[in-house]
Amino acid sequence: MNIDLDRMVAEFKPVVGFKVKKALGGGNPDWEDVTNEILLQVIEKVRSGEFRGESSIGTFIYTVTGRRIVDYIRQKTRILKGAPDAGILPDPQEEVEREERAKRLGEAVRGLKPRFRDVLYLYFYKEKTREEVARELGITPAKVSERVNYAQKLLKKSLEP
Amino acid sequence: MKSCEQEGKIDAYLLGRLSQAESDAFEDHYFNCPACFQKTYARNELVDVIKYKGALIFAPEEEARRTVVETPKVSAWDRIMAFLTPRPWVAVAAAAAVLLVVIVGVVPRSNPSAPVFSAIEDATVRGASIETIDPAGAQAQAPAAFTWKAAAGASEYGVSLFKGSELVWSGTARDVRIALPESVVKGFEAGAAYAWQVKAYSAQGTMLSASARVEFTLAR
Repeated sequence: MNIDLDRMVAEFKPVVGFKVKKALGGGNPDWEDVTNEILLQVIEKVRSGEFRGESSIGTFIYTVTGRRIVDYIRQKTRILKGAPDAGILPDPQEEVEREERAKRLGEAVRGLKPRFRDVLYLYFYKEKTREEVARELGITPAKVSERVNYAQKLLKKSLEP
Repeated sequence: MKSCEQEGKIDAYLLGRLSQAESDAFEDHYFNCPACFQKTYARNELVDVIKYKGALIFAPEEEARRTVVETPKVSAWDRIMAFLTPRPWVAVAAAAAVLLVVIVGVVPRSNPSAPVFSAIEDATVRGASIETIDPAGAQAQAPAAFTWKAAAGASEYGVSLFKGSELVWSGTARDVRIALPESVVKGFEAGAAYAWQVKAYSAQGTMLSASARVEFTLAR
């Protein structure tokens, strides 16, 4: 199977990292190591011919990712059963950057016009369905999606340097 | 970026509304669809911030809901207990009732009856009051909008519509007019008694003033 491995890693690293972070929790610094291990496993399996192209490369990487996450959780559970863990300390630099971006994003949401803020408040914070938000604000469900998407565009713009 | 039919699942995935099987299928999908992954990634950042910092971001909305929307949801038992709990204003209310009896006994009954306004707590406590314009009193047809006079320093107005004493709709406006959604206008019942009220908020979300609850009825 002829696969450009560098390109594959560049393409899938963010996707694998996102899935791993979601599974392990954003504050767990192990996500980066687990992500790298997964990508190394994938490279190894592609080189050894274990990946035969029966599924897409995306699905193959997703399967490897899922298995490694399950292993990690099992391993952690065993460690926690044996002795107390030393504790997981997040990378301070990354924490500061993430916190700073989250702060700016929070301020940007606060600065939105009420018609956008109201939708974000009800839809994401109060976790109401699109139909419930529509009923409460007297607009159509399609308009709810439209406002959420537009609000996101405005926020992205406000975060640009 | 090309749109994908799976895009509609992004919010449900991030808000944990998909079943395990659906969630797995969507994850498999975004491993194969860069467009969906980009959108999921960006939306996740927004959802995370709102989830973890929402209490701070939406403090004005939470405050408005506490005063406007959540009030009618008090249980019957809470109402009974609240009614039975002695309060300082009971003595004031009793004195006011005695005064009212005296006034009613003295004022001639031939005077035309004044429009019915019920001053509510916000209007009396905060002193400043918003002057409402329309509607008030008997209405020939269902109103399509509410109008009021601007309040000093107001950045936003919150409008509530009541049927009897029950809140049936609320909305916000930046201007001194708010159009009612079509569903609300169509829902008005002839002969029923309605009331509406407007509250003014500063840019920081602090309530500045409120109108009295203005009653109106629709002709049969």
